[in-house]
Order: sequence, then structure tokens, then C-alpha cells
Amino acid sequence: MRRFLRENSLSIVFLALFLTALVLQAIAGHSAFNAQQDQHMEPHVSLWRFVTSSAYAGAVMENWQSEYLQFTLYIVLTVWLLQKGSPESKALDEGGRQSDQKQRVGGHADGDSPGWARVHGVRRAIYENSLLIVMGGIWLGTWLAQSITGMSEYNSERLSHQQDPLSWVQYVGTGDFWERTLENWQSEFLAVGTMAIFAVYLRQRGSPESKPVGAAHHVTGTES
Amino acid sequence: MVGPRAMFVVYCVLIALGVALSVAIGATHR
Repeated sequence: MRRFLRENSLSIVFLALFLTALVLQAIAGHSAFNAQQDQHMEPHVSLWRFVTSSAYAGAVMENWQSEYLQFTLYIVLTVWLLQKGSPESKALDEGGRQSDQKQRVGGHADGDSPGWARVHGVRRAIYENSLLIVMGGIWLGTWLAQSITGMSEYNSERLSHQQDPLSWVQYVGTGDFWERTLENWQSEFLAVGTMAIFAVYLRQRGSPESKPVGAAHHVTGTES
Repeated sequence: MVGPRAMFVVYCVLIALGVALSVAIGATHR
């Protein structure tokens, strides 16, 4: 058990942080929701009713989609785009999808390479891009979920003001949908760009996200 | 590799559950 905890401490700790934040978001969101109910002279809702509402589900999905977009873009753009001096970038002469030899696929696979790295054709094409496919799929799924919960919330607001509800197609053309999308995207793009360029000059001893403390600023890639 | 696989499955289930529940909540206009 101790070994399991030590060998998986990164994913376990982030899982625990995620669940804690999700619960705290529910408690804070419930309190804020009921404060608004007071302002409108409406009755309070239970915590269960709040966590099964489009307001809560939408707020969660809104942030999820932007995080998965961030990683999806980072995974795909770092195949071709480079940043001199950054440990987040490949060396300047290594842009692109690289040779089969470098990627250890097909005949260049090792004895303990994943099975789908050893074969040719569709299976390998899928496996070669599996991280992008899955992270991109989660991004699209969460963005779709954001649009559906957002529409539900938006329409209940419209109905309470005696306005006709919008269809999904109409909702994804509204400022509400795009504001809630872009307010999250802009912060992710800034943070990723910051990380790529700050890691050229700044260090964190012991972190794989950083170059070694004594590495020269001009050295690009992780093998510095 | 039992440990990483267990955590991989936990994350997959959690994400799928989050998306599915959110879609269901939104689609039923809750």
C-alpha cells in the first residue's frame, strides 16, 4: 500500500485536490445561489438540488473544457512549434513528427514497447496520436456539456422573463456562451505561454518542468 | 504497472461520469 501511494503520489494528490475543490465549489456555489434567491424573494434550494442543477454542472464543465483545450493544444502544437531555451520545447532541429527510429515504432520498437507501437497501419496511427485523440475528445465532450447546461440555465432565465427559449444552435451563437468560453480560454493561453517562456530563464530545483538550475538559458529541450 | 493502471481507470471513469451527468442535467433542464 505504501508503495502504491509513493509510486502514484502525483495522480493521487491531484485527485484529492480536485475532489476537495469540487466539494468546496458546491458549498460556495450553493451559498451564492441562495443569496441570489433571497434577492429575488424566491425560496432556498437544497444542496442536492444545487449540485444537480445546470448552474453547478455548467460551471464545472466550463472550466474543464478550457483545461482540456489547453493540454490538447499544447500536445499538438509542441510537435511543430519550438521555443528556444525552453524545457517545454524540443531541440530546435527536432520539430515535426520525427523518424520511426527516434519514435521507436514498427521495426524500431523495443521488446517492451506497447503492442500498438510495434504494428503498422490503422492501429499504430491511432496509438501514435492517442493522447491527442483522448484529450481532444474530452475537450469536445466537456465543451458540448457546457453548451447544453449553459443553454438550460440561459433558457430558464429567459422563461422567467417571459421570453421564448432558444434552441441549442441559437444558444451557441449567443454572447453568453462565448463569453463563458473565452473567459476561460484567455487565461489558459496566457498561463501556457508564460510557462513556455519563463522556464527559459527561471528554475525550480528538482522539478521535471524546469531545466536543471545550472543549465544555460540558451539550451532548448529537456536534455540540457 | 497495476498502480498506474488503477489510477488511469479512476480518472477515465471520473471524467466520463462528469460529462455524462452534466449532459443529463442540462438535457433535462434542471
